[in-house]
Amino acid sequence: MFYSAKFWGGLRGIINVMLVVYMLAPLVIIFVISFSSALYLTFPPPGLSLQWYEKMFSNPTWTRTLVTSLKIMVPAAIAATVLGTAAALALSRMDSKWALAVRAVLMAPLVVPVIITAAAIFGVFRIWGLYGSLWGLILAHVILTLPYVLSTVSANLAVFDKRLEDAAANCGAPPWIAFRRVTLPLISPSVMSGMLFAMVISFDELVVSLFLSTPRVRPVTVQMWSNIKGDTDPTIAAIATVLFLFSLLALLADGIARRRSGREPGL
Amino acid sequence: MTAGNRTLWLLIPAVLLIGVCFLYPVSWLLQRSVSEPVWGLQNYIAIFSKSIYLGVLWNTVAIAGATTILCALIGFPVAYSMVHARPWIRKLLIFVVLIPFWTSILVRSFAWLVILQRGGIINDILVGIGMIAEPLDIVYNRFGVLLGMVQVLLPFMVFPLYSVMARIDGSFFRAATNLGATPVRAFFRVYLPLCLPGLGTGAMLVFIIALGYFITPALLGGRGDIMIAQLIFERIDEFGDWPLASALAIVLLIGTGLLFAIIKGVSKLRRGRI
Amino acid sequence: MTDPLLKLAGLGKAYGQVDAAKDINLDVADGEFVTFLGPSGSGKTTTLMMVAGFTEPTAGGISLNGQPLDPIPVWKRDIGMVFQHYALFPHMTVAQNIAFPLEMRGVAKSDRRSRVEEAMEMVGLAGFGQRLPKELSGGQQQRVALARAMVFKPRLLLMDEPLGALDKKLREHMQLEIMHLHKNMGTTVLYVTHDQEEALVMSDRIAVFSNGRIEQVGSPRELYEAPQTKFVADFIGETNFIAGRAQGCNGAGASVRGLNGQLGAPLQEGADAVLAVRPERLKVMNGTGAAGGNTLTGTVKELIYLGQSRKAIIALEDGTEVAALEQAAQAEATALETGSQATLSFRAEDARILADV
Repeated sequence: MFYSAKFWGGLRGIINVMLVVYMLAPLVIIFVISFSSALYLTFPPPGLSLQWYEKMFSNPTWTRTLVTSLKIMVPAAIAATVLGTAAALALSRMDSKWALAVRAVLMAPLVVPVIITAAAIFGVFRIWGLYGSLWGLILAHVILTLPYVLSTVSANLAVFDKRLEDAAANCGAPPWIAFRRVTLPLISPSVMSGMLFAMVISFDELVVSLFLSTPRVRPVTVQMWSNIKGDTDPTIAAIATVLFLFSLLALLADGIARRRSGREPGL
Repeated sequence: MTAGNRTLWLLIPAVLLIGVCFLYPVSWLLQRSVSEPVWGLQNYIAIFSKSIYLGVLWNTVAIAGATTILCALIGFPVAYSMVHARPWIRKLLIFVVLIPFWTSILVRSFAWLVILQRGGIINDILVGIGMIAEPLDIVYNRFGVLLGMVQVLLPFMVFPLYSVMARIDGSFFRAATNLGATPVRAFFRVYLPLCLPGLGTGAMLVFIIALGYFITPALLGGRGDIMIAQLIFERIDEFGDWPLASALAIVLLIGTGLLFAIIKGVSKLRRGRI
Repeated sequence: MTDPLLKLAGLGKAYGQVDAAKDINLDVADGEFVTFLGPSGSGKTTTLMMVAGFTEPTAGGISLNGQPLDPIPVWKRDIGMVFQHYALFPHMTVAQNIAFPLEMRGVAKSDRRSRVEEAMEMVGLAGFGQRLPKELSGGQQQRVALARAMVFKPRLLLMDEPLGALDKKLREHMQLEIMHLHKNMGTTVLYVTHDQEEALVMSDRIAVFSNGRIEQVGSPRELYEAPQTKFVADFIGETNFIAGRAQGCNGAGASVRGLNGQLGAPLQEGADAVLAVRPERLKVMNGTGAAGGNTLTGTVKELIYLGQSRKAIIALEDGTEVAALEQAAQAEATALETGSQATLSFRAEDARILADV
């Protein structure tokens, strides 16, 4: 039996199906339930309706927190993209010994368990009066998302041919123009990628937000957290679906950007 | 070259931000852990001597360890299947395994809650078809925590394994059995040792990341499954007990740091040997 | 010579203790085609990069048209350059690539268009304007790079091993095309290569680089026929060396081991020296013929048939191997055989006596 190709093929098939079910089923179920016509969480739903999405968009708690999430995400992602890209550029031109050390410091928020970052930032921001302010949340999200931008852009710069900048200079382009006309267009797919990453991380972020937010300034994930711990109705499924679709959209956008630039889809 | 100096200023904003809003806060945490209520190591001594804290430390290591073992047991066949699948199936599997990278842990933990809770889908179905009379407790316990964590951390095991397996010649089974080894022997004597580097890296990554986990155990676990991250949160959020929370955070930081150093050292050794 | 277009005066570049280029002195006249020839690491590319402005000199200076270049940044130097692997902008079309230098110089759009067309015509790429560089062959990319470097009519055109990535046949073809372009446009060219044949074919003058210094500058003929150093004699073409001590040094001539030759450069009496003589300048005779003047005897070790010519490797008594090249007809008449004795003779004016370093 061990030698039969059919046996091994069948076993692999079973493994694949089980994996897909394990990884996807919860998300699919949430997705389906969010369109349920029932008044409580039940599966399969007796019918379909958009009532939970209506509830979500008519309930000021959800709309306000969703808007807060966006108000944090957009500036944080933009700032992380600008700072991360600038840092990646500077590091790519630095002496490798120093670059390595600085890079390690900038990447630290990705490596250090987020609970530590959250507690530390909370403690200090409270003293600085940034607790419960949008600015505090934005700053914290920049810290958390910058490493993603830095690493995606750095990976691109590592294969970027620096002589193209020399060629541009030789053609008469001052450094800033050479950067804008040659370097930036060529690394823009990875900058885009990094920004999408930053947006998704910020939009989904819970731990740091949990520490820094107050009922007045509260992103949607924190609201979800407190609702899940209390009573759960399918509105949360609708919110979860929105969050999930947002990530999926970002993933698709990234895939398209990568394909257009001819790079392999990264893992 | 001077080009480096000319662009050095581009680093300043990022370094400044990380320095002021990350490095300083972490060092502030370290300071609080040793300076309150008086200077000394009393908070650390408390963590390593009081049974409630020791219990949480043990939980943390036990849950991270169990997650690692489960990830290895599931990740191994998954990675193998991925390597030997047809291209489009492989792409699908990679996409599926990568989903955790892209979806909020909160969303996925919530999904498990919907499926597993007493009034959840599984209990509904099982009670509905009459297999059980009373709903089962399959969440708010260790089982729920592990189910959720393994799903989130699986990619960290699968991808290192995948990259190692992809380099092993597929015909090894035939070669080994041809030389007289039984398939089981061939697997343990030849294939498994070849996969060990990937397995080691994956296991370390899963373990380290699991140590600091917060959301999944907090949502899917019970009172007996509190991990260190949750304890830090509660100490600050409910009691404002900064000295102890800081000390716990520093213990976690040092623990992760040490494990990372070990990974680095091992991979350096391995590279040195080849 | 009138005032040179380009003047390199005592130019040097040191990285810490290591001199990548040292004491480079060279004048290039307007319209000249000058090649930097040398092995890799000899300083030829470093020197070119200093002219382009990518590398800052640590000693000496460069002037163009009598004006010092050092304070002028790369993008204001108005020097065209063809890079080693072309460095075409991959996200721009051929036309956009070629238009880029014009755009940077604020040339009006309509004007730009006609000049780009003209440049593409010039390099034989008319109609390729909308392609991307990756859709072109290596030779075509090379032409785009050439057009981009020349479209703004620079006073000086630099080329850094521009043909290195092409196969032999295409390379020979492109050599001729570049020469024609140079003739038609009258642009001054600094060309870097490690291929001595390429240098001999294309250049008005060649500067031979070794260990960061210029060994000798001269026309291809001068370098081949009258090398001033052993390195130059060895690097360009094939040469036989017979080692000994310099004797009877007067203004023009000297002798080594009783063999007379011309002095490449002034030499101390009794210094270690070599006599260098090209294989095709050796006359071969069967047997131990009449001795007199510059003659050598030895045993025929190997005979190599080369089609239009034949090469004979002859071992002298002290073991030195000497190669002699004869035209086919002459070779048949000589009728050498492996293992037999042979006599070589040459004229004193065909041999150079050079310091042995």
